[in-house]
Amino acid sequence: MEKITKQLKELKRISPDKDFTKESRLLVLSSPLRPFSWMPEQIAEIVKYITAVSMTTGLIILIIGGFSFLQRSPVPLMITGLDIKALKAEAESLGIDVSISKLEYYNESSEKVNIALDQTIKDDPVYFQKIILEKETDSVKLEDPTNKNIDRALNEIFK
Amino acid sequence: MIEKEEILIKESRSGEAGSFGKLYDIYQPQIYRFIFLKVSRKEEAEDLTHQVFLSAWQNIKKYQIRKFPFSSWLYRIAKNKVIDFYRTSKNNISIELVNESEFKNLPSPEMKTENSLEIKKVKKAMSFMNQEQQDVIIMRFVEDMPTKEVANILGKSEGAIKLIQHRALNKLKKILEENNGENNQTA
Repeated sequence: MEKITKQLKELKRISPDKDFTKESRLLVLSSPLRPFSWMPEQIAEIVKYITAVSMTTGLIILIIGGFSFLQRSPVPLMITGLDIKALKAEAESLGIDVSISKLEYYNESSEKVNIALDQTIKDDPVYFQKIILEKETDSVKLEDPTNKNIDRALNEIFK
Repeated sequence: MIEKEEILIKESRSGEAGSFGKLYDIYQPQIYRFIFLKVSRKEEAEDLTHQVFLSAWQNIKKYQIRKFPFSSWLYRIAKNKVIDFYRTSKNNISIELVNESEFKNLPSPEMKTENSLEIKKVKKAMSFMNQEQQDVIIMRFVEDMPTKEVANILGKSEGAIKLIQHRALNKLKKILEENNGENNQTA
């Protein structure tokens, strides 16, 4: 490998023709310079720079906006359903609703019962007929609740 | 050197031909060598070298001073000129057509004959390598440029340059050995 590198070093001896160098140098230096113009590469560089700046600005605004939002709301990440105050208020309003509905029910049911009783009396059913009622009243002695027939039957069994 | 170069570049940008003339004197031989080793004929090398410096002078205002020497920019222009040359001229002339007169600027008459044969042999071997390998071999071993600068010129990483260099040297070694074997057989 050393031999190769030595051989390659020899290539450094190659040099251009002096006449060519003289002539070329003169021609190059006598040619006019091109005026500086906006080339596509420069435009691309500017566009890249503007994009980077605008994206950074946007990101900064987003971060600042986010922080200010967090500062403004006390519990920013809480779900509305988990708000204790809201839940309490909802529960209280529910109790009132239940009692109101009960009252409404009682009102409605008593009215219905009255209507039904009136209707029954008007229709004059069998069990409201005077004779039947009197007969039953005789057998039911309200001052003496004991039934003498049952007492008699029990005494017969225990004899 | 770099500071002096920066002054010359700034003066050239302001239109001072004399300052660019100094840059021309510094870098023209190595740019010529780079091109000459990549094309077949001396005339083509001269023409392309002239084009490189003409283009550099005309566009000097666009050049931005960076940490790498001015030669990096010139090498990039030269590389593109050679690519354009091969793209436009379909006739790739064999290295065998390179005549002895192309090596007439070697130091002494004794060295001329001996070295011209050696140079011709290496140049022929190099013609079997691809453009990338040629670039790396010339810049690294002929011009002794650091890997970092070569990487910057070719737009590759330093690791990639080292890999190309390794492969190129092995290929060159193989070609030179094969050529030596053929020459010994004919002798």
